[in-house]
Amino acid sequence: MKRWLLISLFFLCSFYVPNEVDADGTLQQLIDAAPAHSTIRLENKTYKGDLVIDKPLVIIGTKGTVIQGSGRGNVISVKAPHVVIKRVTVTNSGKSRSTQEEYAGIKVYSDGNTLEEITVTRSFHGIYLSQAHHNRIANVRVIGEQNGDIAGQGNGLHIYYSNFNELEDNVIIGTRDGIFFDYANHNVARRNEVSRTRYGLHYMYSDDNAFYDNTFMLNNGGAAIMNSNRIVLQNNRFVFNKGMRSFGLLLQMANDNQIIANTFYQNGRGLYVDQSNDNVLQDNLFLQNEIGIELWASSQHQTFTKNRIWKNTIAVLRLGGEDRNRWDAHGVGNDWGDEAALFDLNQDGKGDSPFRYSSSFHKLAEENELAYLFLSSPSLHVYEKIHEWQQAGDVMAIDRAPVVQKGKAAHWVWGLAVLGVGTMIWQRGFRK
Amino acid sequence: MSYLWKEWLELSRSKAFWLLFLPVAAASLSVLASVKSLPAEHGLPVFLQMMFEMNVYIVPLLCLFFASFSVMQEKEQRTMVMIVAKSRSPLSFLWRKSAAIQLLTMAVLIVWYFILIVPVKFWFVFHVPPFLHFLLATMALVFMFNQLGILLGLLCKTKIQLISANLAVLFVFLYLYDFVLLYILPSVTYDNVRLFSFVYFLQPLHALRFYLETALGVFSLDYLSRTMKKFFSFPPELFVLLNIAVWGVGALAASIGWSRKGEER
Repeated sequence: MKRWLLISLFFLCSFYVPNEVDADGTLQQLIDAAPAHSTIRLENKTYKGDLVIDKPLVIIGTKGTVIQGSGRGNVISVKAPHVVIKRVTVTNSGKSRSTQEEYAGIKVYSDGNTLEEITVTRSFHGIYLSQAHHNRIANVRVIGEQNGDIAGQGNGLHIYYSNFNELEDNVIIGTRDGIFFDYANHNVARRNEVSRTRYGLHYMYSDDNAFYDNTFMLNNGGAAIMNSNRIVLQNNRFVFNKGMRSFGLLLQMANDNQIIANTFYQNGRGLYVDQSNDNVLQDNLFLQNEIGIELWASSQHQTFTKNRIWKNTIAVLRLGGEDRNRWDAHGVGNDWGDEAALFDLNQDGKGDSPFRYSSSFHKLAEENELAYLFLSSPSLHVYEKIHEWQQAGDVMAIDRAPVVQKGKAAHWVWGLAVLGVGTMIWQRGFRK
Repeated sequence: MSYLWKEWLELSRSKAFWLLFLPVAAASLSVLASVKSLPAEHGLPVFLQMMFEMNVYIVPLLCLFFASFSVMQEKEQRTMVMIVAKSRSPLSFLWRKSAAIQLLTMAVLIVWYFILIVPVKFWFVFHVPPFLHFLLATMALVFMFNQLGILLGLLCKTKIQLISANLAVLFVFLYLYDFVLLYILPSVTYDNVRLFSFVYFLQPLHALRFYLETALGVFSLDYLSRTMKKFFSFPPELFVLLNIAVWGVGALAASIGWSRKGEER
């Protein structure tokens, strides 16, 4: 009886597949040995990298788990769908630019994967999605070389021919571009923070994407949308992207994009539009940028409505020719703050006359790019005022329905009225 | 030491100094309030840079008025004659006065910024080097405008003259200098852009701003055109030293020259 029991137990054990695998031996051996859909829990130690995952697996590390690459390839290549990698630090991918392939901390070639709570350091690209769809990348931190040779390093998240991916709550510092979309459509980026990169977010030939609630700070350019259409940008913050050629958001050959409720604060240029048409800019705040909005004549039919364009050194700079953009839509223009001293006698929140924003700075800028050096100088205000009095400035924008905050309309009118009444009283007293 | 103590007593009792210091403090707090929602990791350089932008307008005013009136007061109250008569030369008076004014104004501002940095540490990740760069830039500003103030205090005979001279100096640095540059801008070409760079950065506000922005890494010099590369080809530290030499040390030298002339008379 005992013998039969032992034989039965032996057979049961041989058919039993453990659901969790202990992390002994090399990690690649463990991955190869683990059955599909099992979970590998990693210890608080450094594992050798250049791993290939070719079956659906869950790999979970602890706080100190490091996967270190050889410096000659991808640290982790995900070739099977439905892989989950969590809570690991990935470091030391290949960085050579003379190989056929650009390497990454984690390179994903498959669909439906989840990468969470991962830190990537000392790698060319952080995470690279190559023709990989429906993946989720969240709480990933990519640390680039920062201040190093910007062309000599890759991007934080590189999305190549990949669609329907979600990129959320990631932090990227000091890479070439923060998030780069190349021929990638229908992706969503939410609540990411990108700083000290060339472009925080860069779209090339990528349509129908969306990005919400992201922060782009201290980059050469906050976000650059190039050759890409129908992108929705909402509630993002473009802050302190300063430099001679810096911008919060660049639209270049980008059409039909919806740019809604974003904040452009303290940038070289808040918005820079070149060769782009039919974009809608609504409810955005352009505050204290050197140039609020720079528009090249090659760009036409943008619609600006309900934006607050406040306290920029130059609110609108139009270069190269006629303005063919709309500064109001459905009878609602923009709030120009102190730039516009407007009457609103019927208190309907709209100026009683159109607002023409004039500036002569464009002449200086067209003649000599060194003019941009003076954007933080108070002399420029004096220069502009003198040209305004001489009527030497050109109209940069005409808003036919400028927004006036109720109760704030033309304070100077009331001031003048009080002054006038005061003068009359004083004169009467003097005559007596 | 006695000079320092005397100066401190005068400064601490001077309502004008504290009235001028108040905007510095208020501006710092308002900047802090406006940036505290920034990400903790990167908020510090932005805060420091914005605070310096504020200082550019307020600190020169504070230093010019405080330093020049401090010298003027010595002349008006005849204390200068007494000090000089007490076996000290006008030159020695100038050295001591300069040192006392510089030390006290710098100390007051440094103490204030150290106090301010306490709440900043709660909001942002604090690194010492950016803070030191900020202090260095601000102190260079203080040094230059204090020395200019002392020179004006020596040169002017009445308070009205002094107020006008102070305002004129502020006007030159804040407005006139750049205004002239804006009008000569069309004649700047690739060939003479380096010369223009020297003239542009001989304005202390430009030089210090450039130094601080590059040191904090908030100003990008990537992807510049050939002209711009040539324009920015000198290290910012060079321009800071040049400004200190021209405006700070230059004003001190002019003050010494003026004092010596007085001795001869």
